[in-house]
Amino acid sequence: MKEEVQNNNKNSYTQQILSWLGLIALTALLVTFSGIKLGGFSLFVFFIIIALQSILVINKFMLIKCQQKIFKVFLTFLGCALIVVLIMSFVLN
Amino acid sequence: MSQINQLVSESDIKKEDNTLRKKILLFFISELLLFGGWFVVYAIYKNQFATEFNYYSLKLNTTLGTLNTVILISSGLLVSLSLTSLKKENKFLSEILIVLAETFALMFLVNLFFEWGVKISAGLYPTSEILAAKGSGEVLFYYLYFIMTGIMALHLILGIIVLANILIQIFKDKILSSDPNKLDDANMYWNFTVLIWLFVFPLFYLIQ
Repeated sequence: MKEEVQNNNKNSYTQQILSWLGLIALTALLVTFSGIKLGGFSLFVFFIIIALQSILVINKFMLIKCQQKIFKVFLTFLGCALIVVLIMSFVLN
Repeated sequence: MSQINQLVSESDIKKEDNTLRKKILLFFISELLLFGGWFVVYAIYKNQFATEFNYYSLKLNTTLGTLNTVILISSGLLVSLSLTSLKKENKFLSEILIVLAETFALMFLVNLFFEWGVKISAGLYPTSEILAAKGSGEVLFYYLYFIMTGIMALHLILGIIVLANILIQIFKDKILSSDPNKLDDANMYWNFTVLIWLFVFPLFYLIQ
């Protein structure tokens, strides 16, 4: 039983550290793509990267699985709203 | 009798937690309105002054912005790990991680103020006469830049105060591994700030 708890601990720490590495890698990708002119495709890549970053932060750092349902709904709405505004700022251009 | 008292006390704690949760949810909604509003303002003016916004975003220090993003993401990880540590009854590690997270947040603020300093010394700040003499696009860009990064800085300063308070409470055993809700809420707040920055960063530094 104790061993199981210890394994869960390791999993939790490992998952969060892996998420952090993922976020750093995505930030590097974002900066790299900002320097490359790929037209409409680069915008698509931008949105995907930012959406992935948001999913990682909400799921792994904010530990959304442990929160009440209302928080889950709100944070999903928040992520979507922010992405829509970001899309607006690109597309309106 | 003592069992009834215990049940009543547990019920009180649950009610208190639920009230706190509702307050935090309301706070998040007001934050969404605040940042959402500024994002919309940014989108509208970027549409009107696209060339100027693209030009002046090139003048921001992308390296410093990227460094700040990495610092803030790392502080988000540290607060989250601190919560996990506390839940796993590792109080000492939890305290160390909070201190590290606060250090990272201070590093973020130092970098941001350094970046502001460069702009301010060039006279590019709201209410500056030099900026007022320039075109509308540049004025709006720098107004929005200072307002949105300023709001981020205020959120981080508030977060540092909240985390310091949590740290003291953990140290005094007022927040225990069996009831880490306050740290959980602080973690939500902190990573919410990180999430907002993940949107602010590409808007100002990478859209060109």
